[in-house]
Amino acid sequence: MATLIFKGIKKVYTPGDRPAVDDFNLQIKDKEFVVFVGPSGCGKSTTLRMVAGLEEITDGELYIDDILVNDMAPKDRNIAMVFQSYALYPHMTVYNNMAFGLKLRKEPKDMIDEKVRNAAQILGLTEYLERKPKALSGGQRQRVALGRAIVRNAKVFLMDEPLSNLDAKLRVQMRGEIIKLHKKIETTTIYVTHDQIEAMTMASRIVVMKDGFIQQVGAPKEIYDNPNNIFVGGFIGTPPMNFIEGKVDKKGIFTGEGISVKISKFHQELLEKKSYIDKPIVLGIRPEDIHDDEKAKEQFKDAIVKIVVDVAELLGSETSIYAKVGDSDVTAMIPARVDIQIGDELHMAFDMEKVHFFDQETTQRIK
Amino acid sequence: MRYDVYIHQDKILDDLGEIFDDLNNHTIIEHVADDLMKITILLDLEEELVDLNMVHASIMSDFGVDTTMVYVKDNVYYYLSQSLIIEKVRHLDTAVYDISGLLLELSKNKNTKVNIKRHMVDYIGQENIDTILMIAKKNMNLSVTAKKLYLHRNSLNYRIDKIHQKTDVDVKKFRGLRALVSILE
Repeated sequence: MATLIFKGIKKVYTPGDRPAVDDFNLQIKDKEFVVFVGPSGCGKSTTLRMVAGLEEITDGELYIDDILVNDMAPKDRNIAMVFQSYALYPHMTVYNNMAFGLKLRKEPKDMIDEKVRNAAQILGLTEYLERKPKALSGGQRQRVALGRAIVRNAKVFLMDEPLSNLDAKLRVQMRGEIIKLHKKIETTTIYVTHDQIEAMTMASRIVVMKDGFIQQVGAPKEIYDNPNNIFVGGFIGTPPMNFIEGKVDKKGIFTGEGISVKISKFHQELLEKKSYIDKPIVLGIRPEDIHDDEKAKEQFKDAIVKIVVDVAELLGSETSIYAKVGDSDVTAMIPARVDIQIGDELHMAFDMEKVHFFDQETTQRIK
Repeated sequence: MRYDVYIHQDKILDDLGEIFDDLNNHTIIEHVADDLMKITILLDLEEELVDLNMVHASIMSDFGVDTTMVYVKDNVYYYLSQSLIIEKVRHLDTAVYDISGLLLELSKNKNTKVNIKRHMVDYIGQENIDTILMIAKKNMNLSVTAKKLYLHRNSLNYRIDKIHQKTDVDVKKFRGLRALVSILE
């Protein structure tokens, strides 16, 4: 178990090129499960590889348990890795796969046996110990790969998109298993994914990255409720947050293409204080904060917006509505309704307490 | 036929041999150079070992190093010399390359490309080369390709299988076709 400190970490592959990771500052506490999330090419895997020692750090300092590890050989860092490609030797049995790393470290045979059987028990692999990887399912293979990490008694687990090879159903199941495993062994874990659902469901803290920079660090709920910028608001959450461009006048009316709504007193004071009155801004609202019930329409009677339905999808317990407000695409999630047709005009209430406002130029949330 | 895996890693080469110890007399482990190991594996084990991506990840996990791995069947030596593979493997990114990936990398050097192309023409014949290029020209539409080559569709399939057997590259797959075209065009 360990703490990790990233101080101004930077990675440049080719001098003169844009850094793959830049100004990366983060502290990871002991036993934490931190998820790096972001689109492809955002630098999350590069950062993980720097922790593992597979990539050199161009600039900055990386500490594991207060020891500077920039120049420490990977094998001395006591880190275990789990990858998208199952880290398994195809010609070895499950037992030998788990034991191999320990044999390399010249651990005594009885100790190896104990560790392997213990890990197999934790992961429910005891009956598969004599099988070879090809006789296992994808989920079982990844469990063996996890087992190989567990037997090492590593200080830190690094997981690089470990569930990407699995089908959707198995991924959900393995997500749960990894969380349970972390609860059981409490090893500090960094988990890299581009799947924001994995990030939301697994992390004790999420690090959202884009273009090599950290966009926001926080607990899943905190990031969901208070995104730092338009990117984070759009990336975290399914369906993503809706964004509508417009201006707020002195009376506190937000006006954009096809929309004119009264904003809350809190937001009006905030925008006044930050001098955003009559300046171009972006309103952000989550799909579940757009309502069609009478109670909400009464509560937010100054924030009723006319929308034209593009598509209505009944998902069982709820209906997602894809619609247009002026030129902007808007998605709303409302309780299940079957009577909504394409082309329908609906009047929906925006929960103005829950909207966010972003600077149109910097894309940062106004706070 | 045999199956060769070239592993480039300058720090822990000696230890890497241990991975293949389990295969006992099914493998021949050679240290081609200080930083390069060649493991020859009998073909009947190919099926089990085909996913070298797993071995690659395992080496990273066990040894904490990234490696470059190239794996080829021995029929590729009819158009690709071992010395060329050995020379090239050191300059590749750390990853796993099959023959298609390797050819694509080799095609980036004009002299190398011309050299391989010459050997390939001698080995598989101009008729097969024309077939490969026509498949590419017709966007992998095999029916149209067969028509253009005045072949029955089954004859085209037969030719494609022959090309696959000889070069170990499957031109029915985009990766394979792309690799061969990058050498032949």
